Amino acid sequence: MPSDAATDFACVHWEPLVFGWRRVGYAHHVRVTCPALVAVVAGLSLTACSTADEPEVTAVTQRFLGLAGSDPAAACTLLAPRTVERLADDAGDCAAGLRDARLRAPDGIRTVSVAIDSAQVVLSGQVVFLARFDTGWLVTAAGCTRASSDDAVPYRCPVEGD
Amino acid sequence: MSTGHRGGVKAAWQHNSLTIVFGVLLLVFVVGQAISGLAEYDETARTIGLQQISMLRYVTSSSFAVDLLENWQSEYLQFTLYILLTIWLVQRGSSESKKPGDAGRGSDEEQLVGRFARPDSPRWAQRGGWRRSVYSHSLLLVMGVVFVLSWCAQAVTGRVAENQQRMRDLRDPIGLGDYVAGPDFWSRTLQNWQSEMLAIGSMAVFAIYLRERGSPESKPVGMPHDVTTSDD
Repeated sequence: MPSDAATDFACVHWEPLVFGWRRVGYAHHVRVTCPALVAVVAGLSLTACSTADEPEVTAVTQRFLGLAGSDPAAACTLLAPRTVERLADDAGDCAAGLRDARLRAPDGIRTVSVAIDSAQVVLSGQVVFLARFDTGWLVTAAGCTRASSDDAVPYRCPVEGD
Repeated sequence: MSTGHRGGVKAAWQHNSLTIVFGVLLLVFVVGQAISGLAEYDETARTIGLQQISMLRYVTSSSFAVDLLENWQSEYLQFTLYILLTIWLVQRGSSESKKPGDAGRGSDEEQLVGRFARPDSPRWAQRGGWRRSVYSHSLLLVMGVVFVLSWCAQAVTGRVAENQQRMRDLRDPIGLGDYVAGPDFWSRTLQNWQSEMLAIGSMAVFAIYLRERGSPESKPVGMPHDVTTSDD
């Protein structure tokens, strides 16, 4: 079992005969029926309900949102290259683009999701997306709000790459 | 290398060449899948301005695992269904089928169990009770369990891979329940299942009319089409 699937699956809590999805805090609680999966995950530690990446993802998000208003040039160092380019193309330079975006300061974090090299942090008033690079996690999109009740429609983000 | 050792290696090859060759082919094709899969993954990453990854990282990721497992589960489903359904279903003239009239579990004498077991029969075939019962279904049980486990593992890894894509697309990730009820899981599953059923069905029919001299999967070249097995 790949490590990302293993640690992701370590957050599964078993309740029989119910399919559902509910997110609470930093963990994903998923109610499923699939008795054979018990054998697959028999060796996993079910106490490790947050992946190894969630603390860094959370820290980068909070640091970025904290700097976006006060020191946008420093915040730009926490953005993915394509996002920096997009802001520079639209506003002349990255820092100006971040100022124009008027991102909200970090407020309560509701959920953190990590899958392979992608992550999402849902805060009370916005959503942030990140990607893993060799230098660490970087923000790819921020200030995102839901554009539609149809979850096939992407979030609308004032700060994003292509 | 001593003469005895060479003889041992030769004998091992002569007795196990089928397993050895298919094992090597499996390794070659898995390596090839890893190389091509990583190339595709990195190409996508370059296109959208994300980080390319190493081979080690790729082959230990759910992205690689789901591509592997969606194929493996369907192969074991194919074998499970094939083993099970050929007990009762027949195809007249096919080397892949029992003869019409021979459907069913077979008698103890035909199956060499209990008092009909040979001295060199597997031990549990000579025993009675649950041991004989379990051993009598061991092939189907193992194939079925491997199918279920690999299908469940496909679901777990597929959800992670799908969520990576969803978050790249600035969409919410989904839970396992939503994933197994959703299009990506069933698209991966059914595209593999249909090809496995096609393969079995094709083989059952082609084996009626076509031959490959020397293959145990083929009837003898001169055997009539309407003769079902080479035992006739």
